[in-house]
Amino acid sequence: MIRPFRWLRPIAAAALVFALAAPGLQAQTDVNDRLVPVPEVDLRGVDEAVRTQIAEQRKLLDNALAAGAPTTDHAVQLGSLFGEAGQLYLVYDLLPPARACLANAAELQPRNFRWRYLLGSAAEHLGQLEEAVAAYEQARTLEPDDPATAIRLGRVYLELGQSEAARFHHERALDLPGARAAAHFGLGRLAAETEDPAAALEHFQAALREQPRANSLHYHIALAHRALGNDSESRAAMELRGEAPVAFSDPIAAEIRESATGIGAQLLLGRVALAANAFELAEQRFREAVQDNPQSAAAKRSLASALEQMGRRAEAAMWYQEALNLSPDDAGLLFHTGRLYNEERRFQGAAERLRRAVELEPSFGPAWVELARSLGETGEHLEAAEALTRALELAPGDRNLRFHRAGNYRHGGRRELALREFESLLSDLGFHREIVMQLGRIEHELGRPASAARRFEELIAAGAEPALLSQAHFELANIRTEQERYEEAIPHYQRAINGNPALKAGYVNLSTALGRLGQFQAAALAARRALELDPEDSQVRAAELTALLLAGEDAQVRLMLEQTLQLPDRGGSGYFPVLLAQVLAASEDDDVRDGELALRLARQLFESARTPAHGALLALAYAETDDFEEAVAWQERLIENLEGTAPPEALEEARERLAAYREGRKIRAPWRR
Amino acid sequence: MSGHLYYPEVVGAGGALFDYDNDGDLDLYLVQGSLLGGDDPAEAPIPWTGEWPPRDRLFRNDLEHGDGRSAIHFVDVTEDSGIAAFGYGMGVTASDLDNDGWTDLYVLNLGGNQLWRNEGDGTFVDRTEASGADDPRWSIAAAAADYDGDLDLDLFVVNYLNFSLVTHKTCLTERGEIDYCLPSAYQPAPDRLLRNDGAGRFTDVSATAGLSAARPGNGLGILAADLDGDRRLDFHVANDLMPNHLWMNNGDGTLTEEGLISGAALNADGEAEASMGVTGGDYDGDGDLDLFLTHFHRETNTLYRNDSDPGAPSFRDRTNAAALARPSWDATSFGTAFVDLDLDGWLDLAVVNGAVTFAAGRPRTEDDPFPLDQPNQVFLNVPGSGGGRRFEPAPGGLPGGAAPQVSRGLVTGDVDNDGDTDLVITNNNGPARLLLNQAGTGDDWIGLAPRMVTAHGSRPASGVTLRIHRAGAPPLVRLAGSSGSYASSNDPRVTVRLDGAAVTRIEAQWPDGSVEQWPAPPAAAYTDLARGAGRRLTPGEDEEP
Repeated sequence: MIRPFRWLRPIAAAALVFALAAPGLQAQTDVNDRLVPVPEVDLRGVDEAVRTQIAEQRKLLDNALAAGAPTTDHAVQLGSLFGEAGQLYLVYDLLPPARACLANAAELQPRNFRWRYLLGSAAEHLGQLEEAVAAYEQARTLEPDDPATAIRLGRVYLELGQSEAARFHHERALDLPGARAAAHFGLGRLAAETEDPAAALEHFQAALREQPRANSLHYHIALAHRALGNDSESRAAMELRGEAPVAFSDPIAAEIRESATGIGAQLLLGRVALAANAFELAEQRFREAVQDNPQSAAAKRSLASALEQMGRRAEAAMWYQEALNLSPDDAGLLFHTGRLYNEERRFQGAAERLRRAVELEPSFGPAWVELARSLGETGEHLEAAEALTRALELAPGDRNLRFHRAGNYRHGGRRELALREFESLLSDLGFHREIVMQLGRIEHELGRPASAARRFEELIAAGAEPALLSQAHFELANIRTEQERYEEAIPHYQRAINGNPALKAGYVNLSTALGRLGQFQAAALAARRALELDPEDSQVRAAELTALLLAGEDAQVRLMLEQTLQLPDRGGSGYFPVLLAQVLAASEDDDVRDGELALRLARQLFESARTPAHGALLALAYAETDDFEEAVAWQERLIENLEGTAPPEALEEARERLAAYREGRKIRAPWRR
Repeated sequence: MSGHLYYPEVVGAGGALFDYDNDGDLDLYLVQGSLLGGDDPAEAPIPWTGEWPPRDRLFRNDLEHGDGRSAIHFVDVTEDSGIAAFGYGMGVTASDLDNDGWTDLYVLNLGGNQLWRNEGDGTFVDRTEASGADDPRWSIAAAAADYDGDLDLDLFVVNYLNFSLVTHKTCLTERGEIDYCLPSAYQPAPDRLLRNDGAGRFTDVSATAGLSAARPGNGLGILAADLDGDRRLDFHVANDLMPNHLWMNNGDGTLTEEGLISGAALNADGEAEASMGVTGGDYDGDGDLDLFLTHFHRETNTLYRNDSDPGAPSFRDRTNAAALARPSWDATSFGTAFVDLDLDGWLDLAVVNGAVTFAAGRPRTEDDPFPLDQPNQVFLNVPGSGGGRRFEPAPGGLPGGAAPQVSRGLVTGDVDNDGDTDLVITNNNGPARLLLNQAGTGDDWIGLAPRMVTAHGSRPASGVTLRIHRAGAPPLVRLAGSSGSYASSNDPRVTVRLDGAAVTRIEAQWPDGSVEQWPAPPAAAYTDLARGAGRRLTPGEDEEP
């Protein structure tokens, strides 16, 4: 099924959903048996703030374990909690409990790359190289192209003396972004280890070319020259030696390193609480971090994330914006703020931020998608489609994106293009109800009612969920109404309404169809149902009154109109006093008519707006009070105004009335005309 | 050790195995620390329960032989010896510094060092001031070595860093826990080279010899040996968290620091490690002396294979290939020795461990307030891939592993004169341990004791490279010297198990560059190799197989 447009979620929630779908969590009854105990850490003598932090997360962990019903949801949540706790231990260099927590996190969320990677790192630092290799290898299966994993695998294999495996991973890393220099360095180390100084020299020099600031490489170049007997080159290289190591892209490790500062730990602790669903505690921790570090965008961002997960989107958007104020070129922050602005229907603001996000990071796929949403919601459908095209360049073949792009083509008026996109999708997916629905609508809009009707009939025949089926019936009924096949339309409207009792348009259109068939009472009832769904819809109210008049319920209409005009907004339309004046002047029911009242009302209306319609009302009212001279005079003026501008039938009706007035005849029930 | 977390508490102290009374067996000198801060010893966080004030101790070995077995009996002769070493002791080197045939002691302290001259009658006198060998800085170790080839022993004094109670700092872990500092909290103290005039009077030649040309390091360990095969004594200084120094002897009284260019200063990652101890030995049987350095936890101990040519020192980190990386990861290692513990002809490794920070050990608890102890280790030299050698941890490590201590010094020597190498381990705030090797129970061994002939007889030589030629087997290369390990002074004699292989001749390369040859010595005994008594080899002749 095509996912709804709002498929982007906060990262944590997305991870949760991802893990839920992971294999291996079906049999949860033995989850707890598979967990390893987390070693206790004696924290006496440790800084009180740190002690409190670790004790707090330990308590959260214990509570979660104690509360643990062996369900998939619980296992996933526990996995997140173990993972965050493991990171906190890592920050404080408490490797044994970090390793245990991360091992449990990896067990509970087997498809979470981050936990596997950090488990490898903890094991590596503990000298458990085989365990590190196993964890890194599993991480690699989840993200085969992660440069840091490739480099670390190469390095650990090198330490284990497994040269071929070390070479494999370093060579693989040569093609990964941000890892080329480190890969050459690793291959150089390997060559030196295997007594091939010429190859070592080549790789070290290549690493230096890739990363000239890594001046520690000169040391290795010097030693390689030395081994080759190039003494002067060796000494020259050694002179250039510095302390800057060869770096590689390793954002997770960098994040942990940064967390070693006070604020980092505060934030991490907040994340632990968040993972434990201890939202209030998380909020408290993040607020403390913000208070202690008002210039920290990270603190404000974390607070925003927590608030968002608590459903407090408006506050979350505000804190994201606060963070953005501190870090205006942070594409992630721009994205999150824009995303929440979209949720809050602040589409213009969202579009501004998201445009900036993609300007800063043109490969930021989710930002393109959110931008498309903002643009689509503000009616800039073709721009939205363009944004989705950019997103599709980053995720070629993504059917969700193609679906939404086609929708934007449709709403942007590029219906042929939309038709082709939807047909292509249909061809890819086979029969797909939502796409068939869209195709039917587009064909209808393109003036191809027959083929559109076939689409809807096909969909109805195939069956679908009630909401979609209701829409199909509604669309088909509309086509039949346009074709004046009211008897065929009416049952489809009724099925549409049955499938979706809140379908106001269904009642309205049903009312119309019934009216066209002369079933005015039923039409009025349908309009009444629509009005119940939206009492402020003046058009529906007018439709109901018209149907009642046509059904001869003039007294009821007069009463309803008088009540409507008592409302503060007088029914929300200038049509209702005009109709009341007409009813008072021209009803067939003697008990309903009141010429004097009609005349007063007509005069008020004409004074408020000197329109032809109000002039016609004055003439009607004068006639009802038997003042045909005035009626004729007003009708003649009306005709003068209408000549040359009004449609012929309107002019004809006006002349017929003039003739009647000249003959001293009054007009009755003109609405039946 | 007061427990106040003063930095020196976790650093000392070593010991020496040497024959102070020339009775043919090894006596033991143990360096003692002290309490800083002026506490009442009984009220210190770690109460002192021994004799106050603490002092270094000299134990005489009254080895007895009977029924084919040796009986060791140590007698504390400190009082009778006249040694009054009440300083905050760190290390010691035992050598005959005045060429009178009696082994003296040079004691390294936090504060002034002391030179105790052996009077030959069982007593020692303090000749520090008269000898000019004092150094007021924080000294850890010294190598007594004839670096200028004038047949007396000079002193290379390794200094650590500039600490005093005034400069004492409180250091915290990442968790905010008060912990012992790392050396980076202080400034390194420069090393010192003292040239001997032959009569035990020393001149500071650090500047003229070239030591000042190098950036000072946080020195802890030292090895004196000919490391590049040019027949001159070189020095390798193990520096804590700074590049190690390799002082190559230019033969003209000057030294050049070649640590970086030779590859002996940094590990294979190009990183300076927290080097504590250093030892030298030919672990791969290729005829030169390789280096092994001990390090901090979460660093490997590092094996540097010697690939030098004369005048062109070159070392390569072969730790991974020798399988030594992983077993050393969790330990903070200090004293170490290349020693053939299982008498198979291949040099094994002994390593003693003890943490220096709580972060590197177990968490502190009320019952265990100083949890710095760690098990000691032995790595046996076994065949590796491609004809190389690798090391395998010996099951159980060293005896005493079940009740580990905070070990620092490792002193090697044949205490019971039975042809194998025994070990003395010194422990911080704990008793020293003597581990008697039981491998050498037969008479299938030779013992070699290189000696320098002096005006007053002879003295043990140090820094002598021995080549033991065997029929049908490659020669064994062994370093006879007292330097190496950490803050300690080893028995300079060498023992080799024959294992059925007939020794054809012995060659000794003396510190002045001369090489002499002796016929095969008798088995199951120590044979003195007196310089000048062997057949002097002409250049090139000693290179014959």
